[in-house]
Amino acid sequence: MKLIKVVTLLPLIFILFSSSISALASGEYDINSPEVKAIASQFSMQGHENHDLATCATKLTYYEDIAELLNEGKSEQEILDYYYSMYGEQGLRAPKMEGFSLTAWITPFIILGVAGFALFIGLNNIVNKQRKHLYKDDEEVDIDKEIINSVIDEERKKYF
Amino acid sequence: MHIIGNLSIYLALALSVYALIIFILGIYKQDQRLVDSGKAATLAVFILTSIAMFLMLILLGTSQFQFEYVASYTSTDLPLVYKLAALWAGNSGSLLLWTFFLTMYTVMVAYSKKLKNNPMVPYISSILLGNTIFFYIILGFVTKPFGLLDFVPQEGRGLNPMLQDPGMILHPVTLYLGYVGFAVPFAFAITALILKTTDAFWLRMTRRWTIIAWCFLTLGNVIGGWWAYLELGWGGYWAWDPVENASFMPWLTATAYLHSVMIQERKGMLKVWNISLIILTYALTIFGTFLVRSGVLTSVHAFGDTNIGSYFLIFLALVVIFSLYVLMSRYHLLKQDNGQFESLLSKESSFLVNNLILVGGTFAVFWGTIFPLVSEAVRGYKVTVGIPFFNAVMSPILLGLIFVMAICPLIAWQRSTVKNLRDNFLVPAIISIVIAGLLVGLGMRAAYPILAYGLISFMLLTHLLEIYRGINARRKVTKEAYPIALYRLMVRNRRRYGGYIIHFGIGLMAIGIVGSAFDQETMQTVPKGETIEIQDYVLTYEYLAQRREGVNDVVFANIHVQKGGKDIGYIQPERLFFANWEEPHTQVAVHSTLREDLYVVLSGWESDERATFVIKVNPLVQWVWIGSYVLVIGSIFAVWPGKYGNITPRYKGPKRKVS
Repeated sequence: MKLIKVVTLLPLIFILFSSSISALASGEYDINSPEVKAIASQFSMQGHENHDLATCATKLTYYEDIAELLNEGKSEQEILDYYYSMYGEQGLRAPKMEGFSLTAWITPFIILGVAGFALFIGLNNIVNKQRKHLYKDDEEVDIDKEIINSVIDEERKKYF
Repeated sequence: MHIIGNLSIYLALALSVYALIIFILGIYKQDQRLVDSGKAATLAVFILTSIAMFLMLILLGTSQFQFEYVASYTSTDLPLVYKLAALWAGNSGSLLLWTFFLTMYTVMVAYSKKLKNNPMVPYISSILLGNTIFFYIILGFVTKPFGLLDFVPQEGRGLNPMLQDPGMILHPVTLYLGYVGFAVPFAFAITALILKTTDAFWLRMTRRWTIIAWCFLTLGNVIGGWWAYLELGWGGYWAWDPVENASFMPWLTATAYLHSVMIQERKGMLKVWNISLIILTYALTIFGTFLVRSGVLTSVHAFGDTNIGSYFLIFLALVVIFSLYVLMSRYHLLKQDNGQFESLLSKESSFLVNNLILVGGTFAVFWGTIFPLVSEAVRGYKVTVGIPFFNAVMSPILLGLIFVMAICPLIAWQRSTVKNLRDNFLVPAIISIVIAGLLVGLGMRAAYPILAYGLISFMLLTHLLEIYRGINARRKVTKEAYPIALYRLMVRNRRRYGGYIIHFGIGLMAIGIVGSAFDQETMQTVPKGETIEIQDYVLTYEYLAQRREGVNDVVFANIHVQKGGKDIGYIQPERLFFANWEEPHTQVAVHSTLREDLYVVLSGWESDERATFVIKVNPLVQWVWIGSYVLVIGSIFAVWPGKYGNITPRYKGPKRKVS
């Protein structure tokens, strides 16, 4: 089993290693590289994050620096750590998913979840109450039919 | 001129106060003469506001630089249309426009034929006048539109080149018409509470108002997006900027309101919820104005020159406290719902889920917008909450919304059966899954877009099925041709089919929004005659040239474009150098098709005429604009007067001697 894993992983490691070496050797990354864009998109760039690369010198500098760091062989995480050590969380384009900043990410879903659950429970209770009421009294069934007939009638009027 | 201008402002303020007092006295004493006097005063306020606004337009159009506002936002070389549009370029001018719309709406309500002899009128007018007084206090004492300079400058500072765009003419006006428009249903709602009328009269009376206000708000947002798309540095058509979010939040709650009112009209339920939604919507319009004008959050769209946000915050607090007090004092009446919920699987439930998602989405946007302030208060520093956050949080919420949009039209009122669900949703669901599968087959690998396109297809298909069934139902009896059956079906229920058209518009916009996430960009410096390739486009940079436009210089690059070997033509990205503005302005060149936009920016050039270009290919962006046209058509269709179902609702509330 171990041998199979090694046999499978070795070519993969080789490919990854050789591709990063060749990228490093040829200075492959530039400001147009998707890797550069992906990393740059995570930084607030001192408030220039929404500016256009064509007209913003600060943004362009970030792109060039990131390309250079990639060409030096730095990984994405190392680059992120490098900028984080300089600017802290303010340097990022979105709050981190840890500590107090996690509340930014989870609060909307908690609120939605709680509200959704409350809505479900509330509606379920109303529906169950009404069902019990309906089955107790035959008269109510007649009313129910009447309501359905009136709805059908109303729908018919809409079409004709 | 400044005497007339200032006089009209202060006189309008005095008359607004008079009108409010006289209305309250008229209501208290039940004296129609006093109420009529109040109505006349509202008309006078509107006339004075019109005078002030047209006077300001004359001052702007004729470059009267002794006026601080005119000197700050115009210059002699500015084209007339932008001189006039400068009315809403600054704080005081834009608030004057806001007040103009507000007083116009007040007069429309006060003198409405449909509301003749209706006791709600003096109350509604009073509430709207309360708003007018606030704006006149701001115009009269905080940011004065007719302020004079100590000297007369030879030339004005001019209008920021970014604002010299057709978007400047349309975006603020439509946005304000939307914002101010929500004051009317808000005033109706509060009046209904004060008068203890808990039926759906106020909802029916304000249905058109609300749809029109919503339509304008939508238009304002879309035109703003279109403008930002063409304007560099604004982050594309939607950047989740605090100011953009500020106008998106009332749009979301107003959309929730437009759906939930149907439950109240039909079943007499959700009275508290509907009133809360319209209060929230109006409060959010004021909150948005606070955000735009306070400077508490960084935004490229904010007014930068003054800090009047605190006044709006106080006003917002007063509006919310007053509204909540009235709501709570009438809560016992509103609680008496007479409707029934028979099943979780029903149209009523799907409307509630729709409301949950829309209001939940509003909270998510609100939370993301204010989180930098929360972070600063808790940890002492502001974090950036930008596009990655909003995309991650809002994408599932908006996808959920599209799913509910797909379910709502076909699910039955009262109770839906498994058979009903199967008959209605099985075919659209299968086709949507096939479409999603095709996208995977075509090479799409990202999960979100596949899911999104699957859901959008599902939504569009359920709507088509609903319309098709309606046509068939008609044809079985009338034997009409398909187009005639479709036409008659739609005009007999404008509200329903207008709503479906709007849903179609939203679907088309969603296609564009999802597609535009697959954009590609390259930045290259090339010598003359060289080509740049991006996807299957080949762009040949032919030459750089200069021309003069009035007092401004324009440097442009001539680029020949080919796509897949086919000649497309030439495009010319430009850089404008203004005589009266330090920074140059970059004008993008866009070649649009339904499939994608080729977006070219002239970034810079060297002495040897090598030029740097940023070239983007933005897929499906045109669908965002097409969807918005469809949406507007749907809104107009829904509110268009017709002989079917166009009955003025009957007022059943308490009678009064004054109206």
